Amino acid sequence: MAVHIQKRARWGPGILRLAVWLPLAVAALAVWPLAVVTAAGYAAAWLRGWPASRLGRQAGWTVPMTAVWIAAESARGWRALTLDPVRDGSSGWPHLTALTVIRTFLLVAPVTIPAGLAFAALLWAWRTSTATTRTSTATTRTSTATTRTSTATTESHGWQAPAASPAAARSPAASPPARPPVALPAPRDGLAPGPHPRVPAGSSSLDGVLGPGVSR
Amino acid sequence: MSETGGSAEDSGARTGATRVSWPVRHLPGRVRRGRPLRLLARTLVAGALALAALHLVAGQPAAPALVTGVITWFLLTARADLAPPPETARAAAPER
Repeated sequence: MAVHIQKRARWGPGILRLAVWLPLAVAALAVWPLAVVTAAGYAAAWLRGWPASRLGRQAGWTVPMTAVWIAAESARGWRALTLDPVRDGSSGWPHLTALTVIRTFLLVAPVTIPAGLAFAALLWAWRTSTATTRTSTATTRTSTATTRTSTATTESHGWQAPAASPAAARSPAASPPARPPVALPAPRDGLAPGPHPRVPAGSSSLDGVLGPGVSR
Repeated sequence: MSETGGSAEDSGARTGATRVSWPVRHLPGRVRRGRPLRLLARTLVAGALALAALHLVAGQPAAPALVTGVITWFLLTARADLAPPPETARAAAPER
């Protein structure tokens, strides 16, 4: 029974991941021209360090191509405009050769290139924003750790520096735990409550240091 | 009055004509001072792509669209192979 639960725990995340990625892979295969353009745009932005806005601008520059395609398709009628991309996209499957694949890609390219580049720009923007959020969170964690280290250092040195910022001063990590007040011993009888060396009142300072009966 | 207006119109038309023809007049010099071989290669590639698209999807609405796409790509990328216009080059050059 324990082995069974352990196996389920081991396979559980993998099955979940497969359940997410398998439908995505099937969908990408079904609209493979769009997936190819999206993957190419994403890879180019990733490899060359482009911002997402640049991909979006390039998608915008391909809009004239789509406009010409829409104009040419509308001459055949609006029904053809909506059905042709689907028909063209599935036309290459029965005779799968390199030439039919290229032909199919070119037939739907006026639609898939702008759409794929725009989709890649969205994906890249989402990816970079996620990475930025993660980096800022990591930086905050590092700064908190640094604050903790500096607090520990100041405690070991015996004094406390003022907090760098009000937020840092308010944070529980920055403020050390309250320590109980140190109880100093009460002054003994006959000793003046003054600074060192503590000498009995009425005697010279050297007598007090050397003790009674000891003379110079 | 009418002469003044006429001369102003003439000068405006002349300026417009100069504006239109100015990039065309300077284009050969910019090509020569730029990267002509690379521009030639780009032109050949664009032509080959357009011909291939026309051959592969002949008679389909995608054919003119693909040619438009190739022309847009050529116009956008060929500017990098040209030398800067003389005005820009003069402004960028350090004064002596």
